Amino acid sequence: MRKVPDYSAVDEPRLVDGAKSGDMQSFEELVSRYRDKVYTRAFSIMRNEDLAVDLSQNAWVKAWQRLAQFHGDASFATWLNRIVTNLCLDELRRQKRLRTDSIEEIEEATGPVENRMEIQDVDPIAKLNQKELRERIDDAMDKLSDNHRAVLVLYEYEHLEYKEIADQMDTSIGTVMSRLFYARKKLAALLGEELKREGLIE
Amino acid sequence: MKENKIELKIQALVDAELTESEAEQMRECMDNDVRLQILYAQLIQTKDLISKHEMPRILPESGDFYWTKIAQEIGGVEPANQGSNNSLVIKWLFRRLAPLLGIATIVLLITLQQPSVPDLGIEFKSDHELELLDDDIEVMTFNSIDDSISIVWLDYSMDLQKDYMELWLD
Repeated sequence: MRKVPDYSAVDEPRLVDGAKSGDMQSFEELVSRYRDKVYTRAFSIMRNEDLAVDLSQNAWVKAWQRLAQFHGDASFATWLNRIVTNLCLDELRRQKRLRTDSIEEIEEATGPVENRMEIQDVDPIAKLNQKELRERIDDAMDKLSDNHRAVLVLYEYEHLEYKEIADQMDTSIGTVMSRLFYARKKLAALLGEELKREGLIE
Repeated sequence: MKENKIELKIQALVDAELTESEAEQMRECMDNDVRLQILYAQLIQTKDLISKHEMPRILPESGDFYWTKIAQEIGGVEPANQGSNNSLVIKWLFRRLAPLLGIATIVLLITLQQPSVPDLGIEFKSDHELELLDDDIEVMTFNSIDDSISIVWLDYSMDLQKDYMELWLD
């Protein structure tokens, strides 16, 4: 009798090769290993559970269709995250949530927002444990605009360079730099306010 | 340099996005400006804080249900590389087989157009045979043992006819 392979014990390159040759079970195992990561990335950008689930599933379908383009230059997880990130940006564009002519953007270009907002010293945050810290940063991310959050996610979590972000978001490097600066300042300010409210800083 | 532009350059220094000469220039700027030194330190702190603390999330639905929806979408669709390989093979075969198929069709048509046995108005008994030869001269022979009869048809070109005539005359 033929033994059924234990896919959970198979290493990633073999699973990818199996999926490339049409083995759905290999692909299912890859989905099982990375579904939470792909969903996490989608949620980080979209901040909406249903959309994040849908977009992450679309990312898997796209990945299946484009497996031939994966040559292992980056890790499979990185490649997948790029796909889901692109889908999220497309969705934001479709919903016109990525604005290019907002007041916020005009202010960024001229500088007053940054000038009005002093960057906060986030050192007291070190007193919090990892879980508390993550929750507070996540809350602050939730309060950023789609533009600023997207740039922050692409830079800090996807590790893209300014130029790559500019290409993906159809904007200039200057705008990317400005959005990133503003996003960091605002996030630090939001964290500072939260810590003040909780009495962790004065 | 405008203040806003300097701040963005400080950030680019933190993000290692400057060339070595630009980075050196910004370090010189910072040496003479405490405010820029504070900004640099705070940006590093914020960057570290964000990059190391992405909130991990778990799918809000079961893994099986999640996979079922993906499987429905990709069911019956092979990965692109396999599909494209198959289509390449099909194209390759088609390019090479098409002429062969054409030749085979012509041969079949010619075969179907071969002359049938002529109707001589003779009733033959059971045991007879039809023999076809295909050399220089097209020869068709009909033999019937029961009827003690043999009929031979000759079909040849004018050139051959002339040669035979000359042979007989000799």
